[in-house]
Amino acid sequence: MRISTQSFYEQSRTAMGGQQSSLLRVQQQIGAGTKILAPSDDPLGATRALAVSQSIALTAQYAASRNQATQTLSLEENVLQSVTTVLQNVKTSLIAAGNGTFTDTDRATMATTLQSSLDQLQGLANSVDGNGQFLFAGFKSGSPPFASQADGGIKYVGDQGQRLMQVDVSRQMAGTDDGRSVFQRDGNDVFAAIQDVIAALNTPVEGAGAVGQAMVVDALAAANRNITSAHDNVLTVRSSVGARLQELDALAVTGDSRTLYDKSYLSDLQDMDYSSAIAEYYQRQTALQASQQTFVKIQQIALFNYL
Amino acid sequence: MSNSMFYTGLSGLNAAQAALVTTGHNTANVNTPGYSRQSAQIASSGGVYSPSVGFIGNGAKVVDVNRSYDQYLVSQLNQAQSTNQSLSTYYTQISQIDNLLANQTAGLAPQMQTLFTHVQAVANTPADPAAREQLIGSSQALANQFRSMDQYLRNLSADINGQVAGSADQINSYAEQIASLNKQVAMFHGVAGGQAPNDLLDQRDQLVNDLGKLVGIRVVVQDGGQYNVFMGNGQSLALGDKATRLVAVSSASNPERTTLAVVNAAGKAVELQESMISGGSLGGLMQFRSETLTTAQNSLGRIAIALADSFNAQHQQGVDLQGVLGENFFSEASPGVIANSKNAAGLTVTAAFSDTCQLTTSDYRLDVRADLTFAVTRLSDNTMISPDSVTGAYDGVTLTLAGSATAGDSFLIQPTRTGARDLAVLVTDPAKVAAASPIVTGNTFGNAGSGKISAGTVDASYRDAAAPLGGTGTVTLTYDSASNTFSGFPDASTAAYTPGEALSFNGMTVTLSGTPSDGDTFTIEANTSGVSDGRNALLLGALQNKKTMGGSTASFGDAYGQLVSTIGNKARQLEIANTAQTSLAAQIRSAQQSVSGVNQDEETANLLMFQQMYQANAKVIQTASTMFDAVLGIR
Repeated sequence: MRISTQSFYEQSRTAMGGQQSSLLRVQQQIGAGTKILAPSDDPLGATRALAVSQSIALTAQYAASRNQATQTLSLEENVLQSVTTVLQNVKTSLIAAGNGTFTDTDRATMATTLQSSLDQLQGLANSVDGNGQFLFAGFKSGSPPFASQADGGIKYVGDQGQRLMQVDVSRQMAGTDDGRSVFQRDGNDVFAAIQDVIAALNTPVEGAGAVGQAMVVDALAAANRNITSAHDNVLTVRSSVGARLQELDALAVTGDSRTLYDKSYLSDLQDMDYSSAIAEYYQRQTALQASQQTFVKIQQIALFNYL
Repeated sequence: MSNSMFYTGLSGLNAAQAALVTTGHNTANVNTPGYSRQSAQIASSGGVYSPSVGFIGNGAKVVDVNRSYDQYLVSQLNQAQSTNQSLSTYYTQISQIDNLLANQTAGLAPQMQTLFTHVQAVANTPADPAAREQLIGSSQALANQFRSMDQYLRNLSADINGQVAGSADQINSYAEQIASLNKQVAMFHGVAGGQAPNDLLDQRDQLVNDLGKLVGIRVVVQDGGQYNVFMGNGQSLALGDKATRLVAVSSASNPERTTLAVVNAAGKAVELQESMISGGSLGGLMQFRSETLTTAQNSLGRIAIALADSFNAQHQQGVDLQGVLGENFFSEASPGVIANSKNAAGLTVTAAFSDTCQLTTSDYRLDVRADLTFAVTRLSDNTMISPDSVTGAYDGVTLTLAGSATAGDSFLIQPTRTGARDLAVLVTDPAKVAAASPIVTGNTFGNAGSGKISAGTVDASYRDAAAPLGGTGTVTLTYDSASNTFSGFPDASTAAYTPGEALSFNGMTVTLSGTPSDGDTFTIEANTSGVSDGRNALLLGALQNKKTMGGSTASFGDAYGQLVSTIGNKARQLEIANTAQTSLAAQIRSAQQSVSGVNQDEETANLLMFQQMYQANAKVIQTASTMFDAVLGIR
């Protein structure tokens, strides 16, 4: 076949151009560390990589929610532990106040002790979280949920909202509990119970004889019943908090393993296999050099050189 | 006798000279595009009869200068290069979108992910102003990303318009030059002794080749060697010595598109159907524009619209930090309707979304038929579609027609084209993010029974209800054990109590359960000061995985994945086709060059050959002279 001089140069140019661009491609892939420079390199892989990246991001998102939930639940757990201690102290005081030899003055002193426990309890019930939000206020976390009233009573002014967080694909978990369910469950108001017994202990009964004594005993018995029930309720809430914290740990384990799996899949989809990439790089480089050398050699051969 | 030998030698000298000049011409044109090598055809001049001797030859003559040319290979090459140009142009264009979608760190997918991560951060800590601020920031970043990608695609579209306009001028110039060469070729055809004007023919073939790279053409050779050049299904570009003039015009059906029109005898521009234009770089551009560019724009637009629509709908069902119902979070595009500029001005069409979940990435055309009925055609698959039997909408779009229709009127409907362009964030005050639910429920302190009320949900009709919670803003449901009913609903009705059964009224749904005692009360009230309520933010976050698009088959991420996959596959397919076509064209080109191309070594050899021929003939003349001298020398 006749080869025209133009064809010879054209073909050499095309060959070198083609080899240069494939060399550049491998170089770009190595530089970027990915097989997929644009979706057209591997349309299926690129689309899957999008989905897997979203899955990784979602798992990280749930992990962030779990951290938030863990934070508020741990805080709640701490507060509830203190609440348990205060309620135990109250119960101890109630037993002490039942001492038959106590005078009105002794009982008044006891009432003062109980008042201080009550204040402590109110303070705990009005605890704030890291963001300055009241922990036991339900949704109304901007103001103290257990507010002292003009008549001296303590009223719950929060609501019964549950602060849910998306801690996994299909799991929403309450990050706190509302004040009603912690301190006032089933019509049993721990604050009122303590206030009632304080009022009873502050009432002088020395002049009232046996009737007066009986009133004190009754009041102490009622208070003991209510505080015990409130104490049990707080323990129930605490165990629920503990269970939630445990569940969060378990979810974190599955979340982490999902992330690990997704990341390795993503890596399979798009990451460059360096050893084969570098081998390919040298292969293409050699091919380019070969075309360049043959071009130089062949173009030197011309009839004119021998005339 | 020796006299004739002088002439014989001279004829050889002349023939050698002509052949040398031709070789020189070939050598000079070794790199001229479209040049076909020429060769002087030398023939014997015949002989003179000499009685009893026979015929004595009297030299050589050049009868013609031929060009080495194969019409079949040339038209094959034109065809192959035209197709190659079309594919490579399409590929170059689609690569730009391919690269746009390639960005994994700043692309749409990560921005969308960030938005939802921040929605969830608001759900986790609704009272935290920083989380709300972040959400607004990331939604603005996402809207910006949509707009900038859309702008990029719009720029591509504007570039194409410019290229189409430029192509019209180039086509005109080629067509005029071909027509003018036709005229000259015809002239020589009559005048010369049947010899072809080789270099003019080469020039004309080269122009045809250049024109073919611009747009697909067909050449018909007329008697007298003139070329008639046609585009597509028979639109002539050059007929004999007449060239057609094309102009670039805005399409009547879609003024955003520049297309070609033919200037007719009356000087009026008649728009060419785009189907006429295929092959060549222009064909590639047109195909890219109609197949890929609009689909990409519409795909982005559709995601933006679905996102804005579903986000807004949910946002409106929540309340902000002040307890006020949420407003639209994003601004939302509306469907575009473009009346054909040739329409009689009677009919107007307006379009609105009826269900963004049903939207497709196609454009639509509404035609008024001869009997004044309407036909709506989905342009992606060129299928006539009928309205939804319930809503009357076409693929999620409601069309409203007003005025009097005229047969032949047509409207282009682009439901999603501006979706990405028109996406913006309307909520700028962090406090206005409606993260909370509008209602909060509770059981009254002191209830004797174990009855419970669920947290309650609202739907879209809650917003529309005049006073959903009645005049006082609190609904108190009271249980009556005798009749096992709850009373206290805003419309003063009562409801039979079935534990665990959902009760819905005024757009709210609550579930009562357990064993309430007689007179126990449960409240549903407006959620004021509920700053730590993130229930609506949770619902907003759930939209990320919800199948809100493509007739409930795709999430936002799925729809974006579809776009990436469509563009990636098409680009890959074009890359492969383009590579194959390039190598095919190269093969034909080398076959054509094998026939017509100049080989420098060959010409050098010819040069030597004809040089020697020249020298040998000079020797003949010298010999004749010597012989003559010999005769003169006889004394």
